[in-house]
Amino acid sequence: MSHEHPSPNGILGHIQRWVFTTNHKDIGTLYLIFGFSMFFIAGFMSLMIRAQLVQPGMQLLDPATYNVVITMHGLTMIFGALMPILAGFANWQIPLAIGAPDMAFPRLNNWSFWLLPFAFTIAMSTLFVEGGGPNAGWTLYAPLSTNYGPPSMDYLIVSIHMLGISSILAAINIIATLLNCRTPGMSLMKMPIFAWSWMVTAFLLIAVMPVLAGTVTMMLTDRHFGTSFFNVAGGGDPLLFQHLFWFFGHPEVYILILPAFGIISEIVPTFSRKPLFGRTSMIYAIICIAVLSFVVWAHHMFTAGMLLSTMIFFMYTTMLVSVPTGIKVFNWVATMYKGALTFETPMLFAIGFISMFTLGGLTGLMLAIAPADFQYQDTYFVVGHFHYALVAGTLLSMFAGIYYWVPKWTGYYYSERLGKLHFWLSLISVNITFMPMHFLGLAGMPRRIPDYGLQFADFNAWCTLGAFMFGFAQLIFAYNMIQTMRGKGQKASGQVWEAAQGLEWSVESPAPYHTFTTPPQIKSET
Amino acid sequence: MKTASSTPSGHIPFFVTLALVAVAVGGIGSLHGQTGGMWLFGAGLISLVCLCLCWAHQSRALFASHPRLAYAGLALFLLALVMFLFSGILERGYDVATRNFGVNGKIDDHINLPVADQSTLAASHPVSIQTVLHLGKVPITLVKAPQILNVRPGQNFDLSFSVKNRHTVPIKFRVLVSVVPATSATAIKARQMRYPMSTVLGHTTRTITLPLHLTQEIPKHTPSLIIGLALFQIP
Ligand code: HEM
Ligand SMILES: [Cu+2]
Repeated sequence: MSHEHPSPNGILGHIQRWVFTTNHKDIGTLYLIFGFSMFFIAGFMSLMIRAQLVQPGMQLLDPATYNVVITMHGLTMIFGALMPILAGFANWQIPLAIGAPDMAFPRLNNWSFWLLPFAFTIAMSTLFVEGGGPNAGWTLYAPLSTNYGPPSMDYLIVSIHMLGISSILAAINIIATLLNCRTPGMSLMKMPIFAWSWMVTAFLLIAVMPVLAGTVTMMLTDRHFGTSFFNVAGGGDPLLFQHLFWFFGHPEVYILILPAFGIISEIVPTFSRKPLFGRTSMIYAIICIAVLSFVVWAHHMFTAGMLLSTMIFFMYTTMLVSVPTGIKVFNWVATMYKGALTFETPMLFAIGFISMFTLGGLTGLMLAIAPADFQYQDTYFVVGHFHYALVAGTLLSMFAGIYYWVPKWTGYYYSERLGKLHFWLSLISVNITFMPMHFLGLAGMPRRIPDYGLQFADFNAWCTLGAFMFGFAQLIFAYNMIQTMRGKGQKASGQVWEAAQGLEWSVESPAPYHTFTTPPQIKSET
Repeated sequence: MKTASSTPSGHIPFFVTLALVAVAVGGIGSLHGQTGGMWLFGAGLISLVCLCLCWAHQSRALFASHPRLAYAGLALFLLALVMFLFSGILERGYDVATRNFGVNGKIDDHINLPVADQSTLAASHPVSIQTVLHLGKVPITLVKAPQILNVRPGQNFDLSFSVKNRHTVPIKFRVLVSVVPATSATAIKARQMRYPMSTVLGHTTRTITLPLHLTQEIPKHTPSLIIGLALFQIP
């Protein structure tokens, strides 16, 4: 077995290398490149939305197109950008972190990646079919998506099936790897937190992606095979759709945040030069959040009509989630406390994540209060809340992770100057974009509309300004990363970061094509 | 400690993906009546089956060399399958919760309910039942609205209303019944169909009667309740 990269010859050779690869590093790279490409496509859609909303009146999109754009923006960001990027981290880092030569099922791994570009080609092609793209919002509520959905909805349904298969296969692979391929001496509790966060996330994926698949299957049979799961005229119920969707949907938001927690838990100790505070409690907190995430779904449906007792149940369980979440935030801060802190770009993004995500969690708590939610539901307040969780949360953590591990992946440091610029521009613009959304929501501006009353004009202008600033900042990031991949930066040692702990730092940078073909020894105290 | 295979040939998965795409696109295409959709679907399905058999055949070695790993993968796959079926269980569960426990004001089908002895009922208080009718988008006109009824717990009662079809084509619709307050929903049972279906022929008037029953389960201090009838057209 060679330690060299494969050296394919000719264009065909290159294509074959990437299409048939079973190497976890290649597949990780594919996931990351695919995910960030989707991020820029969906980001472009979000700028179309913000351009439309820059001032009252119709600017750019007609209302029907607007609905299609917000639907595709949401779906593409969640299933095309955030999940694949996180999966890219998992593919690169899990084998390196646990001293395994590769993922447990390398060919399955190839399959779970290559499903994605095809699924998204199908999903994107719906934009061009007769009747227009899917327009029901990313939540695909029935009957908007069933009785009133355009024909393109069917293509979206099969593409969601393919995405589901991809996620489930990836999750199976990750769990099997973590359970069976750890280097000797690494017990489960000694496993790095990043690996732990993925263990739990993968179980969530296996538990809820099939439910989404089942739900969209019911949609398909309602549309074409005469069933009426969601159709009142046949004795069905559209509310059932919401229950099924959110039974998937709420764990899904934790699928998007738990790996982010994992990344942050690796970075904070490195730049604090201290071990992670409360390591064991961190692991239990992740498990606890995951278990609770199954019993909170109806907080998305308080206004849809349910029994008072049901409402109270979901309100309290939702609030309970903030306990383990609070433990994690506390532990990160305690890790930094009295540490020898330095503020390289990954650490800046990690600190940005901790403070911004906390804000998202707080607005989540406000939304969890059922009577208050009657006021907030379906307003821009909700949009503000989840963008703090997803953009200022998950996305910032991804940037943190990229800057942290890219020297290990490419063998070169990125430009610290551009990295810091990217950080500050992103942090400031994220707040300019999403903070005013809370005020807009409290003032009563509904979400998912292409136009609005004059009283909302000023804050909306701010949101649009921030969004374009944020978009610009990402171009700096893209430039910085392309330069790093082309080897323009300073060469990195195997250790990369002075105080970094963990097996991935014991191999040289860039990490050789094949690593840990003989299991590494781990130090007894780690 | 080893992975499934250090240098596996990765050709099969990619072709499985292609076959799956053919199945998906061909299947939907044929649903939309596109020529060739069925062919694409069929060809995709056959190749998918062949490829999967081939893959499974190649994976047999894994059970011999790394049984723990192979069984872990298999168990997780079964878990995913069980969760897929679970979405069906959730659907049933929702039905039970709404119909049998009256969640969201839905009522239960009820056939052959023994009618309580009228004499013992004389003392119990009558419940005033009002009806709200939503014609929705069904193109018919209301001729006679349902009346307010006073019903004693344990009694059968009929809600009826008349509608007229002013068009020439027959109109088919279903009547959806719900109860407010939802806590009383379990006390209302349908003596025949929970959601009866009716057809009104062109230029005719028709009276629609819903045979219902009020059980003794009606919570105390419920002097009145509202039955909502929503009409949905069936194309
Ligand atoms: C302590 C933590 C959290 C609590 C208590 C919470 C609570 C809530 C509640 C009650 C809603 C429903 C609001 C409404 O529609 O009226 C909501 C919406 C949402 N939350 Fe959270 N949340 C939390 C964390 C998160 C995280 C970490 C994420 C993602 C990473 C997230 C993503 C979302 C999304 C995407 C929606 C909106 C879905 C939609 O309607 O399109 N939340 N949250
Ligand atoms: Cu939620």
